[in-house]
Amino acid sequence: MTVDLKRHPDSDGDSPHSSPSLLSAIKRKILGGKSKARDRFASLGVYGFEKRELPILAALVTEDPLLLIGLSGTGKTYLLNSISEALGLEHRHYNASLISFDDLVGFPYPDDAKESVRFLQTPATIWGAESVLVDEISRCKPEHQNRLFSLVHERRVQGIALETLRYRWAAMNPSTSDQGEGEEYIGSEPLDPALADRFALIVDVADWKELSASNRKRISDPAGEGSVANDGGALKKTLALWRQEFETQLEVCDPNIIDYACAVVTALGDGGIRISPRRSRLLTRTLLAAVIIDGEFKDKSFRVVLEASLPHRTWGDPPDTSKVLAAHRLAWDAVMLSGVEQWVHRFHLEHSLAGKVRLLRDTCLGPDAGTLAVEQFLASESKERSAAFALAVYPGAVDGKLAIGAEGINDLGRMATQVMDVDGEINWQERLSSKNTIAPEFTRIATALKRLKGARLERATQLFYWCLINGISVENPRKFESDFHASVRAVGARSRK
Amino acid sequence: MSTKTPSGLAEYYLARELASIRGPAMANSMAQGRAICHAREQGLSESTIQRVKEQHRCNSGGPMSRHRTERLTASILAKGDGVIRCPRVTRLALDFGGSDPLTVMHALLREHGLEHAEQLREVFNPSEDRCICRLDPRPRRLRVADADPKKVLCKALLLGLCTTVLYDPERPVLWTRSSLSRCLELYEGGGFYA
Repeated sequence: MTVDLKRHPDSDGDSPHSSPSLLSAIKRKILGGKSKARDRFASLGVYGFEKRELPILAALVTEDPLLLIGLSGTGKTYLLNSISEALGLEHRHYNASLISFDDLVGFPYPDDAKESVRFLQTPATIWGAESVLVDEISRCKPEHQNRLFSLVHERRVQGIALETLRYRWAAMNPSTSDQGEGEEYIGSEPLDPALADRFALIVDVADWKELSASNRKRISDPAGEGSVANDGGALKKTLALWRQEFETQLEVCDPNIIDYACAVVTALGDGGIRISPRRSRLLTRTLLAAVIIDGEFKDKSFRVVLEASLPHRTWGDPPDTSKVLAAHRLAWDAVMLSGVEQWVHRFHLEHSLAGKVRLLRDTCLGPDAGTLAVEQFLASESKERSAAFALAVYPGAVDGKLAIGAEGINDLGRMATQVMDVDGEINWQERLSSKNTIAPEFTRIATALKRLKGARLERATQLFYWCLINGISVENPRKFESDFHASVRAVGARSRK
Repeated sequence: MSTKTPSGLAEYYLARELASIRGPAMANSMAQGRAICHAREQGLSESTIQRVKEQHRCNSGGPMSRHRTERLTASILAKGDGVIRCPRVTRLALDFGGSDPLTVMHALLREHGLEHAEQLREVFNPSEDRCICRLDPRPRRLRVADADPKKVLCKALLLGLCTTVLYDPERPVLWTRSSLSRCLELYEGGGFYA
């Protein structure tokens, strides 16, 4: 799915970076018209990377750290070495399992004045390098991993800035806890999350079974072996244009990209997939690069970049694919849709009940939008959250304090009136040796209720009693009640106004 | 000199007796009762008897826990004693006997020179504030055949403006067999945010 920027409310603003004409110009200048999927690495003699092309190219544009993960012999190292050849870079290739720190920086010796230490430079030392590939990074000793932090993250070694270094790449086999039924890589350990989080992009490389028939033939063909990758400078030239555009747009990044990054990180967090604030920034940079490469906002490109931006599988905890896709869908729709649809998606992106109520109270686009949001919420949320939301909102909606249509109020009322008047039984098992016990769930709830008083206590009691008689176990009663109370206050604030 | 059996031995006898009981349920419980009475006579404490009984149940696969049930009631509607006050505004319930509600109401309308239910708004001027509705668990129905026709028409108008959960004066007056037969209580909701 692509989005026509002309339709988007944010696209017709003053900022030149987001204007359709500029994007069209980029397209004409760089791509020569409508962008198409193309295998740019085939011209370097590297095959099978079409589907991974975008995140790898984006990493070349942003010059942020890139990590390739794949089985042995899938061309990870070959690709990165070929790119460095095509770009004419001063390249260093280290094997992290064998490297010692002296190999990286050179042998230290005191300077003539004997006041500081210099390093004896060799063709293998990192000084002066423009690109560096740390191969087998998952087999690295822990103390070396720590030293690589500053290299990967800050382009520094021993606190000394590597002025010429542009590209930081790494490659690894799947770690021991993330391996399938096939090959096992003894010694390929999960990466330290702190190190993994420094890589902006983590790209899985295709194995034989994922390759097309033509790529299998091209890979199997031994012709051209050993020759230096040379595409006549096409990649270098294109990258230079993209990079120039990237640096220009970085200062006034398209708000849609920032909004998408914020929305998707929030949605992933709600789904239990934590993304660090640093990664949110890296994601924004990569998305900007992807937009420049594509010449337009592409749904699929954003999804591919998002998937390649999640570092969790490097430490053996791959995220739930369905959650990632759902988060992408929610964020994409929230940012790229317009009008009522966009507002409804923003409503769903907001996790806290109080936040939803504030959105309803302050920014709702009308009774139809309110009704749509409420109906979708009640249909998709857990029973206890639906009940809490309905109870908090229904009386205010009846009083006309919130922009919800009659259908929405009726839906809220069907749920809320059940909670407003509770009459039922709770059941539990009691040991024969015990007498006069209290229902365990009741005890849990009592701990949340005991600190409350007045109207807040009455409302919370009502809600928790409803949960009890419906056999609903609230995971965190205090947090749940707190969110419910904030929702009530949010509606009550409008009532007082 | 004490005639009581040493407690350890009495416990052993009780356990052995309970374990040996086989037969229909009624006979079982009688035999158990006899064994327990005997143990009491032997001077065995109640706690020990209880422990042996549970041990026996456990060994025989009987339940170690009992099912407990407790009734919970709570309401914030029509509450006078709490901080939250959502007072009841009115109750609506009509008893049409065996007659068809629609036929009866349209006949009443014609008797008062009206053509359709919407015209009742001008006659009764219903409240402009929306209300919370709920089905009345203990309705007191107004017998249409005996009641003041004006009262009936007024209640029918309000019923026509209600769903099961909302009184909405802005919606059209909808008379259906279902809406006229409902028994509702109407509440003010503003006090909920006290």
